[in-house]
Amino acid sequence: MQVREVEIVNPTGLHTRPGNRFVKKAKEFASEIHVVKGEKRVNAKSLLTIMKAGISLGDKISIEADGQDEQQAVEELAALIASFTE
Amino acid sequence: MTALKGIAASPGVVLGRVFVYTMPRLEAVESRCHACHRCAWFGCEAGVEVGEGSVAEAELKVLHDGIAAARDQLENLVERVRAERGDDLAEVFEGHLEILTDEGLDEEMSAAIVERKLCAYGAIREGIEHQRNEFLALEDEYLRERADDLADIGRRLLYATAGVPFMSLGDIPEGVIIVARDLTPSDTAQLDPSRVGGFAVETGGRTSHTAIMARTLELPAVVGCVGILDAAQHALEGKGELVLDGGKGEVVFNPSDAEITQFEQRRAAYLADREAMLALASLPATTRDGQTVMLGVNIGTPADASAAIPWNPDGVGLYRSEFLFMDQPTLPTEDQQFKAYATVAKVMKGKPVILRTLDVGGDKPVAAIPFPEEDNPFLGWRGVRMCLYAEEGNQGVLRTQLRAALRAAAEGDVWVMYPMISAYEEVLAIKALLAEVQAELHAQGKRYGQVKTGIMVETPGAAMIADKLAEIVDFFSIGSNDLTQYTLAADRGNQQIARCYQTFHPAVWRLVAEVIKAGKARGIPVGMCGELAGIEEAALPLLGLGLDEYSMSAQSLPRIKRIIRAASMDQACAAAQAVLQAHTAAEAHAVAHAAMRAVLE
Repeated sequence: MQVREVEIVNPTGLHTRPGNRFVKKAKEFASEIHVVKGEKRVNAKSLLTIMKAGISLGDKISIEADGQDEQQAVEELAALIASFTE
Repeated sequence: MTALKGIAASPGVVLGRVFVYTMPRLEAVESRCHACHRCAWFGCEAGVEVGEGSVAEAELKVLHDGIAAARDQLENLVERVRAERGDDLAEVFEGHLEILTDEGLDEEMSAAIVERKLCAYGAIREGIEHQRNEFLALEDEYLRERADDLADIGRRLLYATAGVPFMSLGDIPEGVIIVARDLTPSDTAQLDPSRVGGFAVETGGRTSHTAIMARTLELPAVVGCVGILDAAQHALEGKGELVLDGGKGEVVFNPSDAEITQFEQRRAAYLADREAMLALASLPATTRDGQTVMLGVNIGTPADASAAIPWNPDGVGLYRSEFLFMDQPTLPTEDQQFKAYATVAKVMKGKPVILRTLDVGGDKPVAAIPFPEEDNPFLGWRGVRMCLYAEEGNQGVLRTQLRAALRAAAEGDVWVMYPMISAYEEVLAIKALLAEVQAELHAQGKRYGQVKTGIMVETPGAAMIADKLAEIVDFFSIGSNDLTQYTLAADRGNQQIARCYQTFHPAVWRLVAEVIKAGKARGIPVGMCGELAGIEEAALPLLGLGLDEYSMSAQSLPRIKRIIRAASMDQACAAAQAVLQAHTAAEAHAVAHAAMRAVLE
């Protein structure tokens, strides 16, 4: 399993639009992927659960991937989050 | 004629034909739904139990066919919206598509059919309702509003499942005014502003999704207009005409000729005014002879900052941080404050944001801080006085606020100012505290930026030693409301002595002149964030005294800018001298008024 810690830098966090891009990206990978914020651990491939986790500006989250493309998954998802500006 | 009053949601005056937009009844659901105990919503009564595997399988198929049909619709909508309205809005519906096909939602609805024996429609309704409630329970206001999106998705799924098409608002006749119970995000997204004159709905408030959308589309709109559907149906029996004033929240069905003329005049005035004001927004606040000043906005929340953007302010001249403290029983956390401040800093895109630290007192207390009973709360434990020193017990409040402000400064240009300063040593104490907090963030490896330090000049004491204070701060902001009240010893809330509270009293102006002079001598900017900065008659004399920055409500910006752009510094200086030499407030106001008229003509 691979884990990456990232900080949310865009003002709207992982809400509708950035959240949608994040989930779409996650679905490109075969690995099981989860996002961990504090006590909450949610499926990265479900926009509903990602939105309800309330991930917003300044939050530190971990991206966990488990599977054949786990390395690539955490790297690309972390890079995507860092690229959000909205 | 029938006149109704609702909530003014989006300004503009429009005359058009009534178009009542209602959803068709889901008859298909009523006739074929055979087992759902909860479907009273659609008028279906409890019927047979779903139990046998075959029935459950049939319902699952209905559900999945429905999801597929709704998905097709949404895919078409995404493409159409992308072509007509751009990527931003298209992405909202891509999000709907993602939620509609969410595995978790599908599992939840399927389980309701198999395990709890609901029919497909009952399962959809319960699944959507459950998700909506989870969003409504969230702390984040933005996310709570996403419950509207869930309702929208649920409606689409129900109709697609029943195979009942609902009329697209994109295809309605030209020149109509829409009357509806409510409009969902996908309804408003399909509105073509060049075909629709405006709309009026029964539900919603000024900040509801529908109202926000109307303002974005610049469509005149009235929301929360109770009884409008009935009135519209009734009006259709007559001429079926409607005039709507979105700025006043007024709606008149089948207006008389006199009323039509009156609304047409209002419409012409609104359009002319709007054009002139918007034309001003893109221009700098520069006098005819080339002197430029900054025009900022006063805000209380990040939403206020976004709303001010069309007026193109040069920055935020006053961000009242107390709003965060007033809405809740406990103190806002550092992260909560950081998010709000950083959002404003980002919205302003590098323009200065002047954040005022908590400014409360016995007259306007907050729930989270106990206030003692005081004989004179206006002269008491308020502003920076209640949280500057450790022995006051509230120093932690200021520390947390400064940590949040310093962190937000990494996201934009944040200036911090302190209210209710009356002594030099208070400023020294603030600077020491700020240095401590900054060192703490540094030691913790936190990301932060540099802030400018300034003070509100709102006590005569601070104004009189402005030359000394200017040596140790980066900027001044004159709080004209409190400065007036303290200079004239007149409580501005006390109706009995309202005549004593004189905005144009020459004493107040003389203090303002001294403060600006002291700032100039040390080369630090001097702004004003009280009501005086937004008063048209005051614009010229303040300019003449050398004020660098005016801060006011967004709507006042173009009016003040218009005066500054029409003036020369000679005229402004003459107006300033005349005000300073006046014997009375009435005389000062009269000379300022005359100077303004002369400049505008």
